[in-house]
Amino acid sequence: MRDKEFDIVIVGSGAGGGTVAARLAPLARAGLKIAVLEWGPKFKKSEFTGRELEMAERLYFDGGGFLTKDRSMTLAFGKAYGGSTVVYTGTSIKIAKRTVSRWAVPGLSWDDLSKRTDRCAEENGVHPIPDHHLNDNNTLFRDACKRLNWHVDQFPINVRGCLGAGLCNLGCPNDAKQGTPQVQLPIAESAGVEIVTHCKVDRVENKTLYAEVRPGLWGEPSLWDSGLYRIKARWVILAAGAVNSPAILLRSGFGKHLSELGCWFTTHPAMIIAGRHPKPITNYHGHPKSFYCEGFAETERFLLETCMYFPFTTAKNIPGFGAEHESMITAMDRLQMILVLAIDAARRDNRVTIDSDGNPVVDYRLHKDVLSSLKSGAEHSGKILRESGCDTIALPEDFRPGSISVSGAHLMGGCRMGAGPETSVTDSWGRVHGAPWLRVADASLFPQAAGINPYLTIMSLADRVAEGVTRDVRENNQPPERTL
Amino acid sequence: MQRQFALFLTAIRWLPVLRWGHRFPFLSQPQQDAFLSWLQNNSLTLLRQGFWGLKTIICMGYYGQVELSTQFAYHPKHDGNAELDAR
Repeated sequence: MRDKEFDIVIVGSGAGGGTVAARLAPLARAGLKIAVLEWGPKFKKSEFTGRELEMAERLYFDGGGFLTKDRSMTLAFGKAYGGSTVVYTGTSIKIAKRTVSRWAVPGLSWDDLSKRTDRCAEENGVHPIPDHHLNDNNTLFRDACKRLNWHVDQFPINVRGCLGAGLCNLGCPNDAKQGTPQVQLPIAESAGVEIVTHCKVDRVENKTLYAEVRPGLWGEPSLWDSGLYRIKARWVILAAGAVNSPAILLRSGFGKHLSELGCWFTTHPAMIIAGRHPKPITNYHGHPKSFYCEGFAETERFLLETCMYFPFTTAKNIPGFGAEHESMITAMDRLQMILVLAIDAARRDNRVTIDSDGNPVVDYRLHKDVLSSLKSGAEHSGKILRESGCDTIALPEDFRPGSISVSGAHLMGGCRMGAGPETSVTDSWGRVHGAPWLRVADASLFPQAAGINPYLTIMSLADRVAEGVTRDVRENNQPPERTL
Repeated sequence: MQRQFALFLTAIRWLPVLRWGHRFPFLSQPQQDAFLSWLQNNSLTLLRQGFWGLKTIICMGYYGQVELSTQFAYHPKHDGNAELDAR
């Protein structure tokens, strides 16, 4: 086992870890030793091939098919330099005031988050796509919603020089998406933060992390040699995502003192509804996700978003089999797609646990209210698709688990913020109760679902965490010889 | 997981014997469709999930082949906006 020592170690390089790393850059410049440990590789541009199965295997845990314990849903979360920001579509939405009020975290206000969100959005170049680069799949949705008198909004997105490859979920081949690999991680690296890829953290005990670096099949080699590491750090920030941050803490024994650890997991369970037009439309060219309808978020607890997926993902999601099923997938250029996302209530029994080998297990049940939201969302999507002119609409008839293809890509909760250890895992600054040297800075902090695409909220919370760490460093007068 | 799938495939092969007196490969197309629909909408969650898992693997094996994308009318390009500009 090799030994390393740092002032600050950040686990994970996605929206949370990447933001913390960038915000701590002044500390690195002032002489503090800071490292980011990332499980995934740093991909070379040439490795973003846009091939569905190949990229899913490279970029996602379990190739994007991580199954929940009862196998009723798959979870998609990224494993790369940049975490899930490599595979999101870059839709950049500010969390609603009502949601933060509902979270009711002492010390956390919407006003504070809002300011931070604005800063992150500016940093990431967030803007709406110009009209002439909106494809039919998106404009048909917008126009149908308007005709139905349903409120529809355009997604601002964080791209610079987007060429409209439409492959966002497989990693942008044009480096246009302004995720942490493009924005925050370079800031951190230029200040001297070490970003160590291919490095899996097993546990963190007594200000010491235990990790392993393994050579990968893809990406650039790790900064560190392969092998086991014991890494001492004065401050540790976990930003490994809503599955892996709770899992690391559970493996480290924090579950003994924090009864809520891993609990209250939410994921916006989602399903794709597709309709076929009589003639080709533009759908897979251009950015895939430009509009959303949140008119039913409060009443029926679902969101509708435009989307365009790839042949296998589409085939898996379209109900049925045989000739009828085939006739949809072999007409990819005529498909209009809508993503229905249920805004799932946080439940204590929906939780991340670990198996006997320490691997994360997501014990999540699709409750009746979620299935009801999905059903209603699918019916509303059917109306949009009909209004748009589709001649065939693939609507599921049966909404029981196992009959529909449900996937979650907004993984939240498990280390929820709150007042104390009886009801939460961290305080509103991400500090783990009972371990002031340890913080969490990712979507696992969310006490309940965000109700929107979550990355900007993750960044805003990470920004707070970094501020807290900076304060800790200053209060501890570390390092004594330098002015921060 | 692999063993469970092997078991499920064996069940698919033999279960139709109970109703039609023949194994799955020897059923007519309407009979095969009826049997698969029965699995897809079964009251037992395990059978529905088994069917979903099998369908997913089959879809992956077929629709995941990049070489066949022309047959699916799917031709993404790195410069998709150029296609939109040409409208």
